[in-house]
Amino acid sequence: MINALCVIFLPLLFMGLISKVKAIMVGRKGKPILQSSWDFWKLLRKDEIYSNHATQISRFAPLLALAVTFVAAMFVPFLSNNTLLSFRGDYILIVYLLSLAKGIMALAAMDSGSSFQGMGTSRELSFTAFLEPAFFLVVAALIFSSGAGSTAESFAQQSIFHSSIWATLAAASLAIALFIMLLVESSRVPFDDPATHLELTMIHEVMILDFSGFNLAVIHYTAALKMFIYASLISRLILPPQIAVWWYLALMLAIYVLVGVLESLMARFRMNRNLELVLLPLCIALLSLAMRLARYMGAW
Amino acid sequence: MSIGFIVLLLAFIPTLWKRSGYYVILWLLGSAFLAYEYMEVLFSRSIVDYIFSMPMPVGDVGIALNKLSAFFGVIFSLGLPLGMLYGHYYLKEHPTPALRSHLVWLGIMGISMHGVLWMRHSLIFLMVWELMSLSSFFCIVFSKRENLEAGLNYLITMQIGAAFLLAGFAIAYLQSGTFDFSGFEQMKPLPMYLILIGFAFKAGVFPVASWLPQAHPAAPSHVSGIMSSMLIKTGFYGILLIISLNRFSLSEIAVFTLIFSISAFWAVSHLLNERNLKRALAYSSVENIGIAGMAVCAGLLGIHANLPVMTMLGFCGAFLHIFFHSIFKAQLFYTSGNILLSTGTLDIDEMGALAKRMPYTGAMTLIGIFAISALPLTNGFFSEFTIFRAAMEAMQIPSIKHLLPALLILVALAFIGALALIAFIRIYAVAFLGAPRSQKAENAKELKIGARLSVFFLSVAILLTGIVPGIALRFIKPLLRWFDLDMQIYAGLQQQATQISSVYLIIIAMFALFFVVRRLCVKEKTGTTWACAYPKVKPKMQSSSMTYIQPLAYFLKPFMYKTTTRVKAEHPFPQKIEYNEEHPDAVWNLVVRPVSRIISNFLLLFAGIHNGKTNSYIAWALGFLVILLVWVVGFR
Repeated sequence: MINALCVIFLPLLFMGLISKVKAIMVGRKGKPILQSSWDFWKLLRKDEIYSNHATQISRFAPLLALAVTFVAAMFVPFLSNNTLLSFRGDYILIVYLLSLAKGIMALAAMDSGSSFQGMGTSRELSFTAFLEPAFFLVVAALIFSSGAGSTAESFAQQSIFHSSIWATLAAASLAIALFIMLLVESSRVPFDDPATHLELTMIHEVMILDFSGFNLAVIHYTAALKMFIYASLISRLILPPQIAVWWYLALMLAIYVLVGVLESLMARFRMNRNLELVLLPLCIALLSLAMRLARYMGAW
Repeated sequence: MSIGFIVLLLAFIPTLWKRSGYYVILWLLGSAFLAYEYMEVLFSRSIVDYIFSMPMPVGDVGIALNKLSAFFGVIFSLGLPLGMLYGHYYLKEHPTPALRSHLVWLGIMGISMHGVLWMRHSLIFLMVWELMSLSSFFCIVFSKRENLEAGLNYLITMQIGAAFLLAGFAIAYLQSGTFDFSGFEQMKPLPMYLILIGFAFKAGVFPVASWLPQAHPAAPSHVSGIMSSMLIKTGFYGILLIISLNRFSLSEIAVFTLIFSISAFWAVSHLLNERNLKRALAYSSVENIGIAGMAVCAGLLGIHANLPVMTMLGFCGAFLHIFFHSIFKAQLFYTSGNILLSTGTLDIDEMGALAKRMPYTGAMTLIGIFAISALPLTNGFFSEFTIFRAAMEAMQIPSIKHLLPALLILVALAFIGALALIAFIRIYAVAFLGAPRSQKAENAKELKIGARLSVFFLSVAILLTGIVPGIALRFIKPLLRWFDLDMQIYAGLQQQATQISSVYLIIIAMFALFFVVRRLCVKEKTGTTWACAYPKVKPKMQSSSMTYIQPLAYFLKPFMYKTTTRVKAEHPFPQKIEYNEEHPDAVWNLVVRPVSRIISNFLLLFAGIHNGKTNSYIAWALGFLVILLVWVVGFR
């Protein structure tokens, strides 16, 4: 239950944190942390305007995407390790639920017949091609010879505070892989700049160009939720299973601050070379799996 | 058996008067009898057996069903009448002068598809198999000259496949001494590989799948739907038949895994580029057969590694995928047929905004697209879920020999699944959404209810088996027991199906809640699409099917074969600039065509023999007789 509450209230709060960090980094005071939540409420009360070409898909896609992402979040351990739902192999369902959200949003973006949105969709979807195998490989590396069945189990069992140095190294590299996936999936710098103002260079923002009001609020919330899921997975991967809630919250805070700091320090990469970097988590996960395998075979 | 087949034979009578309506009714009736028979075999009796004694070279002909053929039989007897029903309305809108012969060949094709499942005698099996190839060739050609090339290509490919089968059957006969399929148990490698290759021609596996992308777009939509969803499954039935009777070594399994994953990847890389709707679906059939093959490999790997969970999940995933593929592929072919009828084109770049003009077809296609890209809430997801779980089970074993093929299955499946998702989202987005891209799309209208009937039934089946996958699991249960798999694991999977159904229920409930909330508090307005304040937005400015995959194409360039023609700008004020890009089938253009050209050039050397002069023909005959005489006398 505490997980559900956490899922409902925390994502937007943490999103506010990023912009605060960015503002502080460049020496501004910045907007209050709760600002993104106020924006959310304000948007919810507004009317919507649609393109003439839009079909029912763009009216309902954000709602379906939210429902699906929310259900995916039920499988993920947040504050407590006991998830609402869990069964053997549920990580497959999570990946596919998230890709259902992505697919329906891609359709909604193409719905208005705008050339910009088509561009954004094709960019965003091309990332999926490498992220899906990467996620499966990360999970495969996690459950390798551990016998863990569900997402909650497999992420909780691992930690970088391990007696063996190799297990620590493997977990740390997987955490890095997941962090890159977080940056891609939630479209942060260096892959995408959420604060950009030129349609040609956007990825995620350009997909939602024609949305407004209620649905826009829903979309923003879904994006924040997705980022929260990934951040939480990283925290659970790094932390040992039995640990106080404060450690978890501190680590989550650290991840969001890190994203904010990265955003202020880095420039984004060239658009058409992005995909090469998206391959990185896949390679890291493969490497980590190979490492575990070699360790198991008694390589050193 | 007899009643069903007799009714199906009776169905030929109305074709004499070109009454396709009665024909369809008789097919529905006959298929119902046959479906009952198959269900009975699947769920209660172990096997039905008829033995006919034939003159000597043939011997005893066993005509029998086992659980495997009954499983395919159920698929055929449910799918074929729906295809015929769709064909009835399709032919009404798309008339042909040769309706009579088309219906006859269609009937022969359907009956021989059933017949293939009954025959247990390799010679008779091959005859029925050939009849099936021949009748489907006539169905593809459909009395149109422009279809002839694709049809002939199909026929020749099938003949080569049949030659492999014939050779394999002959060697198997020499080794086991019986024509019956029981002789295929524990075969020697050579005949087994020959037979597997022969079946692969029909199933559509990578190096020999070039006929699919040619035959399917040419054939009328009901025929391509039947062929893609059911006829190619006879090839897979053969492969499963051989696999069920033999054991394989690890290296063989690894090679099979590699072939199937390459096959699926080849198909999906073409699928990403394809503009022709039906050709894209044909490539997707190759992809799905590859996925089902990978699942079978996972099952075999589980047997070899002594992991009952993996075995069970692998085979279960394969059967489920075959079953589900036959539903959603037929659905998508019939909807694409409806699009063809209403717009007159299959090029997705000439469509656009069809969801507004054909709302019913748009919604149904969305269901089909979701199923084929294995998204949750539709049936495609559950089969891929099972296959993924099978591959993940291999992570429990520390042996690297078993782990590597399993890892290949895992990564290939995830990568191919993601690419297929991108490809189908692209197809739906370009064809159904946005602004109309041509006059044809502008004038598109929804069809009459008849042509939408089969599509509706199949969509209901997709959603039903998707949201409650337990139904489909119960259907394949006897088959799994026949394969001697661990039924306790099956119970676990059944439980997971229930869990997934309840997750779906939560999703639907939440969606309904959001929907109501949005309905209550949101007012809608419409306006023009945002284009950075540029006022003259044209439909041509939308993402086309080619620009859509540009970021991926940049990365997958080595795997994407394309031919381009361009007219460059030569003048400072160019009159005409043109760029045309096509993505033809690489195997066809680079391998099959050159090889067939070499063969035909070689054969042309002998063309001089046919010079049309009687005296030279007599001279050839005389020469032959002399050679014969020398040979016979010489051996005395």
